[in-house]
Amino acid sequence: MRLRGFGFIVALVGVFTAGAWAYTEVQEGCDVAPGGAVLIKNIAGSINVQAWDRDRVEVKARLGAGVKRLDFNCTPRRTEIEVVVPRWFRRQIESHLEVFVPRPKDIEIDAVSADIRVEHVAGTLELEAVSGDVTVLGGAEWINAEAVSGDVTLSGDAKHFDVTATSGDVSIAGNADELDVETASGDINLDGSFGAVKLEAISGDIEIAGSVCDLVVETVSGDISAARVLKTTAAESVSGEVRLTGDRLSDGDFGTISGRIECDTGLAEQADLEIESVSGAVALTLPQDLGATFNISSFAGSIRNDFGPQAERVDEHGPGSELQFTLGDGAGQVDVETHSGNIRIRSR
Amino acid sequence: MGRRTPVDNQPDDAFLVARARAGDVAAFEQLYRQNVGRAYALCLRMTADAALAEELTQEVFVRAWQQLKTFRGNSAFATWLHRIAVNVVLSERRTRSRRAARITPMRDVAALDAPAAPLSPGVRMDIEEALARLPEGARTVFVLHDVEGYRHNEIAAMTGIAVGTSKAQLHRARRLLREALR
Amino acid sequence: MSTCNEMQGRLNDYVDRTLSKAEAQRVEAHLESCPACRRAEGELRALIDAAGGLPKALMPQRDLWPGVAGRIQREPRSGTARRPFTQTIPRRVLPFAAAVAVTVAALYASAVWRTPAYVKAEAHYMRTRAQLLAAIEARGERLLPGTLQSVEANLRVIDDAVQEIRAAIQDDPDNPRLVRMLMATRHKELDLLVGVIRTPQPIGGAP
Repeated sequence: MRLRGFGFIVALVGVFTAGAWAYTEVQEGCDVAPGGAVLIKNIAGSINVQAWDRDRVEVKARLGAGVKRLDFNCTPRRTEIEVVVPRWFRRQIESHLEVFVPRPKDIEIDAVSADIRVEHVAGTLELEAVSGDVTVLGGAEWINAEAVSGDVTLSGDAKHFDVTATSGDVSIAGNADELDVETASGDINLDGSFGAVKLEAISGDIEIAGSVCDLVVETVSGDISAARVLKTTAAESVSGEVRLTGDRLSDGDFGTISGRIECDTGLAEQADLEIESVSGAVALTLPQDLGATFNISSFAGSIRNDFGPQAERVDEHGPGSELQFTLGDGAGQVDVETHSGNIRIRSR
Repeated sequence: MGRRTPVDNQPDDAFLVARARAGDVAAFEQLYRQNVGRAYALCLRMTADAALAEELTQEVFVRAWQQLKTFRGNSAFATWLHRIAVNVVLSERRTRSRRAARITPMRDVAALDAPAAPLSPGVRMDIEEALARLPEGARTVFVLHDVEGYRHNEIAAMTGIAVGTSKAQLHRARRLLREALR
Repeated sequence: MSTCNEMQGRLNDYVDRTLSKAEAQRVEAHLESCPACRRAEGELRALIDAAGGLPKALMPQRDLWPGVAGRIQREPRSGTARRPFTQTIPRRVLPFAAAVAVTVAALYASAVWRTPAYVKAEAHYMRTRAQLLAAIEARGERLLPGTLQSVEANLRVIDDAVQEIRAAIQDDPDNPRLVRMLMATRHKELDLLVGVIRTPQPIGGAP
């Protein structure tokens, strides 16, 4: 049911009675059925969505001068709220929306330079801002957040987080089954307990406190630090530093060109651990009671091994040293290869 | 960067992969055309069942599309896809055996594991036929090790069998094949 | 002195080269004096060669693409939701990049990474990179401030990495791992550039 006309009249009255005030206050609302979605569009200013107990969607808007109108279209399962500005208007007209929705709603928000904030809504959140920040409190079922220069801050639990940021930072505190974050120059900070995690940054740094079950992480120049990886990992950086602590990895894959790799981990039965570097140094710390076959080689770097056997030159007259030995039942496989990076194998 | 997988001479079309990762289905179709032969060959040899292999090959590409974001260009796309194919075949086998176990009565396990009856004397089998007649466990390891070039510990990790078992199955497969091909 | 029975077990490991030097020498000594085992070794090698020589690709009876296409259209990957502010990749840039990719692919396919043709492939990559970068610069004032500098800084990191890998290849030319790492690094570069071009930029001027 469209209540557009009514909202406009209130706004008009507001303008005339308030004289030359910058904002017009508009209020809209309608009763809704459970489930369904609320879609909100605002170019500049802010959008605040809060969950409440009523079966009703309400918006309180402060519209900036020059705003044409607030569109409010309501069907029982779909509510659309849009701040409409004239196309030719170059100035950013700021409007601020406070939206109240029932908890189990899906929310979709498109903003350009408006900040987005969603609190305690339990459905699927799809939030897009260009230069606005995106903040979610109290988790949700599934969160999909995109920001270009804004920061993304998510706290609470969700089944799945999917975040894309370009220069903004991404911070996630909570628990999730799946997590997928991509940034370019923004940093990524995770804290909580996560299942399958994929992180990609270009120059941003990545720091993971808390635990991850399966981690895939990659940067170009950013540093990577992971406090606790439980089962599998693939970590790669071109020039950044990778520091990772593992529980009982069954599969580990590390790569760098000129960065540094530091890995301190236990290994599962028949684990497969592989570390490759060109000039970056490698420091690998493993438990004493390991069962694995080691294959360590470096073209021009040094190899130091705490577990006993020492490296030998491949060829008396040429470059390259290698070290092959077995510990325990030799069931696991540990391969480390560098071109000029020094290799250090330490025992815990 | 990444694991040492069988050397793959197929060219890696980096731009296609970048486009496909960004959601371009037409680019992914190109990757399909370049790689379907290899994926199907693996599925066919491991299952010895053309219809099933076709179904599984489709599944391989659907999964590859879904998991494209995890592909980091550190191996040839073909190699990465190959791994997915191996996983698809093995998980189908696990599902199938769970279902079959509920339906079929207890059978003589040794009989199940025996090689198929030999062809009439004087007829030389070609290696593909002989391969299809191998018992499943031996065939799997032989295809992965001698045809596709994986190492025993990689095979162990993918299939869930022990490294020692992988070696034993390989030796058995080779013995059976040598006998069948004499 | 090893017996033929022992040999049967060892022969596989011998042919797969997983025996220690001492054990391999024992096997060789036995083979020199045992024609039966030599025959077995020959058969084994022939079998393994035949297996390795099997066609790597086999075509299915029918085209499976329609089935694949149907399923992937129905399951869009996350992140491909509609983007109201997205600018698409300029059309004139794509053919160049595609041409480079095809050329590079063809050159790599012929395993010519040690030859001057490899250097040619690298030159093609550099040219495409320059074109993509030019396309990005052309959108100059429509890009977010700092995007261009950030992209250039990271391209420099990748460039330095590529130089390092190439120097390593010169030192250690028989190492396929280094070529793989080079390809992977070039991949990152393309990903980076395509990613920038596809990033939504604010409309109506920078904020």
